[in-house]
Amino acid sequence: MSGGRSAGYYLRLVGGQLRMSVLAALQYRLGFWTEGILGILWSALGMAPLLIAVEHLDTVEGWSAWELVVLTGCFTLVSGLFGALIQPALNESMNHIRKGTLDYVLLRPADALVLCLVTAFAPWRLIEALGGVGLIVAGLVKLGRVPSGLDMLAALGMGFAGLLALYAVGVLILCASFRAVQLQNLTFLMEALLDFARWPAQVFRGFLRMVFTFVIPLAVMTTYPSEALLGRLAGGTVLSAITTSVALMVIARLLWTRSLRGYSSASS
Amino acid sequence: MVPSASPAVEVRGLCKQFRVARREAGLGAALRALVRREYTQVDAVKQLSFVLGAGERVGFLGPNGAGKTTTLKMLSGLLYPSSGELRVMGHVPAERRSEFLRTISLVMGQKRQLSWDLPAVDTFEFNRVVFDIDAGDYRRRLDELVSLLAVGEVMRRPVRQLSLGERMKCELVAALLHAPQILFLDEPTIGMDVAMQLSIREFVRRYNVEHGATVILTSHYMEDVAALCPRILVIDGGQLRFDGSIEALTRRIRPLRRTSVGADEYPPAEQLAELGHVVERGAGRLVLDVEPERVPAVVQVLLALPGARELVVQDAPLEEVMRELFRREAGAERGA
Amino acid sequence: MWRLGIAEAMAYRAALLIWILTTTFPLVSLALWHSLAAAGPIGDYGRADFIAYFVAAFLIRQMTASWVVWDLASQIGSGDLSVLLMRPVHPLLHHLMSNLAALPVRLLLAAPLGVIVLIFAGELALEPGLHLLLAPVAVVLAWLLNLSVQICVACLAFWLTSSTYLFELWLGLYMVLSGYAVPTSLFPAGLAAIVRYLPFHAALGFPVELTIGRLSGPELATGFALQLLWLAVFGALALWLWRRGLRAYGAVGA
Repeated sequence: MSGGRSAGYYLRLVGGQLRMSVLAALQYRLGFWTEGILGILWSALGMAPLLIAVEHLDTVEGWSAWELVVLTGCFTLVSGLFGALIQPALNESMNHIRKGTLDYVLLRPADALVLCLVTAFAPWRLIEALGGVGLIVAGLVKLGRVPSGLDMLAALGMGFAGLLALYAVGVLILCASFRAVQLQNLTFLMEALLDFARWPAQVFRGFLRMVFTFVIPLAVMTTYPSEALLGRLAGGTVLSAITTSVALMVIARLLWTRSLRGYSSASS
Repeated sequence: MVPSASPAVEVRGLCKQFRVARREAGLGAALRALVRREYTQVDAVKQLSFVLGAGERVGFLGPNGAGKTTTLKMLSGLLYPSSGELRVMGHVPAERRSEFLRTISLVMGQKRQLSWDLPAVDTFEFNRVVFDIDAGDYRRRLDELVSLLAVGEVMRRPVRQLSLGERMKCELVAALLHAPQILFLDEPTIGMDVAMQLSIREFVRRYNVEHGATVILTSHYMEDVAALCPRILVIDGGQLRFDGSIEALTRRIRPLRRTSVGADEYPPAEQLAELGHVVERGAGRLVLDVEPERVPAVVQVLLALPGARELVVQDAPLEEVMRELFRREAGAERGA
Repeated sequence: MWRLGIAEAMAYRAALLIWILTTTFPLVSLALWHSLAAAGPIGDYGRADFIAYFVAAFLIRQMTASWVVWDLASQIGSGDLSVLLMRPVHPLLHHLMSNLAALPVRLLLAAPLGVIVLIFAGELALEPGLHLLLAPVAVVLAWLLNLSVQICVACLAFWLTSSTYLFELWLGLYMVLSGYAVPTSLFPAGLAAIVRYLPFHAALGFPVELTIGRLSGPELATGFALQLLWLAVFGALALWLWRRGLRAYGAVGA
């Protein structure tokens, strides 16, 4: 552990990496906009099952159509952030592990985990996140609801807790890929599971409900923030959700330290 | 080179074991491995001890899988030692302290740190941020390195368009921007042509002399090591087999001096056998391996030959010495 | 060669496990739609229908999936294809065999899961009949269709650097339009009609609906005709791209 680096240093580090990512993307002429618009297209396509359910049922587990729009907005926001911040860094780190160039990342004078989590960004996916904010606002306007300051705060808190949990799960996957390179497919699994966060958590019962609340907290990421915005989230839930996320992160951090000790560096 | 009082690297009883998954061939074994995987312990480094002074240039020699790279990675803090003591510039490398990481740098011939799609100068700029280098220092060091390595134009082209040699020069710039006091080089000249090898070798020597940085080098090319490192450590089977100068190594493995002369007429075979071991005889050239203390006497005899010319006395070639060394070690291992 | 393929499949046990987990996606969808249908059937799907549908979708996805696109595209990109071209076996045949070889292992792992779900779910709307004899044919055709599409995309790697990205586009559409996430017959009427003509449906939805006995005689005929049509289109395209690609590959001298 490196300890003693200031927050300013890490901000500059993130800035430097952001610059590299944008430059690399421009090099390939991927086009900031095409990527972003494609992202929105994907989230629209992913909404199909939910739309079908609404068409046949009017309400889904007590969520009306416009309430579901708010939920979808929360989902799009979270998945945009995941795609912009977490997923590229995970994939890049795994590439480094596979090619043996993680050595160079680890030789940088900063915390190893932070270094891995900022190895790459996909800033154009933030367009998707903005689209999500748009959906949330549209849904709330249609419902004629203005969330109180407390509601907003709870929603933000839940959103952060959700992102933290996502990071934790990502770190766990990274730890696993130290062991076996093939485990990289786990990010696909994560992405596939994330897709279920489109649905209100109430849809899932029993075992799956437990999994999606405590192990892979999809509920924390989308359902709870939406409920907070709609003013029907209990205070206890906020606390337990934050506790879950923090616990996940602590476990992930401990496992990371262990994994790094066992790092064997791809031999040349 | 005068090593300073406090050593740059201290290694005592260093060991590293790896767990390697093992599986026999065939379907049955594959099915079993699906359920339970068997592991074997491999000793990559066994009880290694040595001390390197600040400012030294040291070469690690050894066959593939000898433990050179593993040692290098433990010295740079990438791998945790299984046991033993390890200090580099007074730090324990595995702790990965920021101050430690700023004093070292690692360049691997087979792995890039430069971003593939971007010009090298973008990675330089990124390293400025990563290593928190003062803008003025950065400018000054970059100018110096760029003019020494002549990459002023090269560093503005995307890395993927560069030749192997140009890329390595840029890798060196990226690795040296933060002015490390210890430079680890793992096979830096691999796959390069002779001219490029020479220029990189010359650069490393110059950098060492001008900045007093300790250089630790592994290379498959004996000439790299011979030309660059006054001191070499031979590592084989994870153990230290030799520590000293190239000359000392050669004397130990091949004490005989190779003596050759051209002449119009050679003495008969039985008389030659008294002088030394005959390596080659014919086509106007005679080559003998002679014991060191007998060299003056033998030279007298050879110079007295009719039409004697071009007398040369030298050490056996390094490649041959190494081959001999590793053959001997392998033999000893089998014998034990 | 078959044995070798199985050994390879084993070596990737981790990848395999994840693959199975990823493909449990339909089982989560099952739970989801099962509880949505608690109050009453959705469209013409009751709770039991959903169970049958998604378990069948899960198993058929296991049997028809392929990963040729990743292997082949990376071999083309890295030049490793040259090694394969030296061998006496046609490279495409090699990939076909290695896909086939992994099938038993995957079924072995997936089938029990399917059975467990069926046991726990209790009710099952599956009647024995002639359609069960036709199901294997539809599954084989779906597998060949998937394979052809993947070879098409992989062959683009002869000219493009990021052909697998295109495949992700295909996969994204497949997830929604093949009936993997929701039966296509539940789509709004007009849309459903179009979707059911697309290759995605032929690659999954059709064999699934056939297996659980939801299709009438004429629907069966249309379904098979569409499968054959799409297979012919993508098969021919794959072979054409392969030939053209090899020429481009040889020209570079890789």
